Amino acid sequence: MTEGAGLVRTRKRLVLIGSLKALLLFFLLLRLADIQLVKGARLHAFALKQQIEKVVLNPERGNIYDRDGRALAVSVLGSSVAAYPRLIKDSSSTARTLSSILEVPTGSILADLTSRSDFVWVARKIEDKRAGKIKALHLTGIDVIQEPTGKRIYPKLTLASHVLGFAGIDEQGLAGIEYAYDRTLRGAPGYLITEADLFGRAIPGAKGSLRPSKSGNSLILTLDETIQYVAERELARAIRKYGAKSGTAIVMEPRTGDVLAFANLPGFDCQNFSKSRQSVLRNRGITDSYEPGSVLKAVLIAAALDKGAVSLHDSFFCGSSILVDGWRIRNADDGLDSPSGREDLDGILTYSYNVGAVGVGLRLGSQSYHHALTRFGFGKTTGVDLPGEAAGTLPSLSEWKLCNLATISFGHGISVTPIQVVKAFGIIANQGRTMKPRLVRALAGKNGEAVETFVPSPGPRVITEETSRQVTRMLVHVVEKGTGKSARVKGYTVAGKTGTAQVIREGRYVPGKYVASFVGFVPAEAPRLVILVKIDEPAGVYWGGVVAAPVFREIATEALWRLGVPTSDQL
Amino acid sequence: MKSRSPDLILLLVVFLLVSMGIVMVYSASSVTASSSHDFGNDPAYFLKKQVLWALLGVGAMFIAYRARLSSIRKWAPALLTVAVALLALVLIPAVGQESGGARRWLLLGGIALQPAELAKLALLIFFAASLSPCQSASERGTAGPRKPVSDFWKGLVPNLLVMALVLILVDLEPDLGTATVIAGSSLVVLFLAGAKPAHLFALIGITLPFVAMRIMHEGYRLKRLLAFANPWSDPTGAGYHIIQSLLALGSGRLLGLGLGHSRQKFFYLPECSTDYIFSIIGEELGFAGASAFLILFGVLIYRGFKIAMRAPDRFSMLLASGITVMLGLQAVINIGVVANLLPPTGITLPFVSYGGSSLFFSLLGIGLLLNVSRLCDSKAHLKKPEPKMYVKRSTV
Repeated sequence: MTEGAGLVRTRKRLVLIGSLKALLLFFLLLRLADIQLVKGARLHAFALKQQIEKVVLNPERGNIYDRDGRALAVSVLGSSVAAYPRLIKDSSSTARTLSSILEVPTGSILADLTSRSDFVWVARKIEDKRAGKIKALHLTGIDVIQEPTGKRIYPKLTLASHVLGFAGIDEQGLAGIEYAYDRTLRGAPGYLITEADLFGRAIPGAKGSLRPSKSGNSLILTLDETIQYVAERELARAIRKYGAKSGTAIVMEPRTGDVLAFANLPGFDCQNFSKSRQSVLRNRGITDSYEPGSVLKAVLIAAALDKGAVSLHDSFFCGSSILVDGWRIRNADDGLDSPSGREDLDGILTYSYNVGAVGVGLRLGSQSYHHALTRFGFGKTTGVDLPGEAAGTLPSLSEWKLCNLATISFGHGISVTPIQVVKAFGIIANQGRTMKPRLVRALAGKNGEAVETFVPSPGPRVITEETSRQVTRMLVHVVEKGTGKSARVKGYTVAGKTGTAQVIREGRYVPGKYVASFVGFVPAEAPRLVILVKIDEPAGVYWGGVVAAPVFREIATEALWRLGVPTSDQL
Repeated sequence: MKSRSPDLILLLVVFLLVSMGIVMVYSASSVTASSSHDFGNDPAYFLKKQVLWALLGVGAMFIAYRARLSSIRKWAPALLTVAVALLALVLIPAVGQESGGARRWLLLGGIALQPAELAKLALLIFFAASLSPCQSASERGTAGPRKPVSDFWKGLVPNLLVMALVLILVDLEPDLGTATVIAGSSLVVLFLAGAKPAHLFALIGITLPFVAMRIMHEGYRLKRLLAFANPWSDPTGAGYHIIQSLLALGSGRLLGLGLGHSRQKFFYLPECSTDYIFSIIGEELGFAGASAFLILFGVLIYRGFKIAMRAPDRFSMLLASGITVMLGLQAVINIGVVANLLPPTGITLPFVSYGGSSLFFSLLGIGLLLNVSRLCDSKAHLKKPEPKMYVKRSTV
């Protein structure tokens, strides 16, 4: 073979190989188009999934204030020390400085400062004093950052503990307002979305996106810190004085339903709630039902008058006992007996005759009375903004026998919660209209700016204005000359009713254990406050007029002064 | 022999590839370099080394361009001997530098050198010489063939034995990728030189079972092969590397994330500045940039073959085509691996990937191509008895 012929053949083969190469390159081009253009979007999305790092930023929990903006529950921000290792020039001297302030071994700090991350926490939630020192040094690559500590502080300690409730670790509300308004208080977490490398470290200069956390809204309660304090103080005094087991006092504005004070004793330290027994943590004012006793006679008479079943001039048998359906009912209540044997409605209420009340009840009839009790809110929750409210027990109409009608007429054989009683008396005080008791009047933003103000909306009318006036007049007589004399407040006309009932446990009366209560409103002419006082199991004297009424007086006196309510002679 | 100007288009293409490659090496390696104390936390660590090697390579290219082809031909056997000796040397544990389970580097005065890269080029030069008839008395008896390569026993087999020696040494490192490129380009050169296709096919048929056995023997190679077929079946294990490569390419879409804005280089994609640099190119510059690289390689191969076509004699023709085939094959395999068309082998993208030896010897090869290009007789291929077919293809 000649050199020339060999070259020709080589050239032929070169063309073949060259074409093959061109084909391969073209094929690669197609493949790249397939990966980058056809499948590109999907692959990119997949890549982003691994490259994007999401850091959750905890929101700041809203605070809880009383109606005048005094703090009842606050969340505190803590100072944490962060380091940006890349920025630190002299790691060992920085570590020594931090170590002396934080009182942490130099070695562990140095390890943080020389780590390969862009960002490390050196110390979390440290004392303000130390944080201030570190901040003042302006160390390169060291930052002091404010972050939620997850710690809830109750500056007034045990005050209004049952209303406020408490929050657990990482500040989730577990009881009371903290629980009921948890979503409002909690806010929304934010996210720091960064593009990160394989090890989760932020890519320098990458476009991160930050959705800051949204702080929770603060609550402006209807509570008045001063009145709350007075209520707790007076309740405590009575409990001590009468050796009682526990007590509840509720102060409500009848026109708005605003609860100004809601005291339960014994209370607990919201911050260290776990140290208290479960029974103490319960808000007895809404969870515990009891027999209201004579207090209910006011409701009975209001219902009977409103229905027109009785008139103010009707008189009823008020002897020492009456036989109903084979059951003997006595005037055992406050140890008073009618001198004449017959009394009108005013007399029955003023001196709290059970026998007379039974007569009124029989005149009214089961159906009307049951209907009225339901309209007054018994047997169902009031809807106050607290969790765990009980409905009490109102026997259904079909279960009512004559004896039920008779006993319920003077407040036995029915169980109610303190807040239900407050709501019912609120109806009488509010010219016959219901108001839902409420504890939160407004939401405020992080810096105290108003976010939302709740306007109280009046509920349905239960009794006429006329009836409410008539019943109020009788209730004034209770305090002026009847069983509730110790509730009198100097300068004001008080309307109220005493109540005494035996404690029921597991469906049976417990001998020798009583619930003494007083509920009333003041000034009677234009009621500003409905106050309920209930003392559980006083040792010795147990009459509502003796044990509970003075507490009403003390609370009312200071509350009226606090609110600047003009005295009755000024009206 | 009269001298013309070299192929300036080829020179331009290589210049573009090398300079764009340096930029991409910097982009791809800076993250790893800056975050490692081993590299002095210097983001430009690899950039500096690559620039240095590029300068050395350009020097080598110039020398190869100026050298007399006849002396290169004369020195071919000696060069191959040196290469084989170095290949043997690198296998000695005390001498060869080990990295990632392979012993591929010789440390010469602080510079790491891959003997396999030298051997690749040396073998092709040797083949060009041994497969060309001698033209002058002085060349006679050096490396010219006594029998044409179409003769199986006396022409083909001696060359195959030389190739086998080199392949075995390279495979012992182990460096299957380079071995594949050497075998592939050697076979093409033998074919171009006139070896009978039947012989070559028979050869491939005989060797395949051995290659298969070798793959089965080394567990990781089999795993790689299986992962290539279906990377998503083991996305965090064997399929990890190829998936990360596809994610990089796919993220680039049409126009890319922008130069320097690769995300996959943040430790997601291993070896992103060497074997997988093309993934980063695709991610940062998109399909537009990636295909630009592909086109540059296409032009390079085209110019290389064109030089070979017009080469004045058999030696320079085989030399030019051998170098072109080698560079082209390497580019196709590298991009094929990155695009999940071929199983991972571990070879660099010529001129672009980080790696001193590869860049140096690739530039040296280009120097030889340019050397041949200035001897080209633009009419050489027209002086043939049956030229029709070539006329169309080569008068551009």
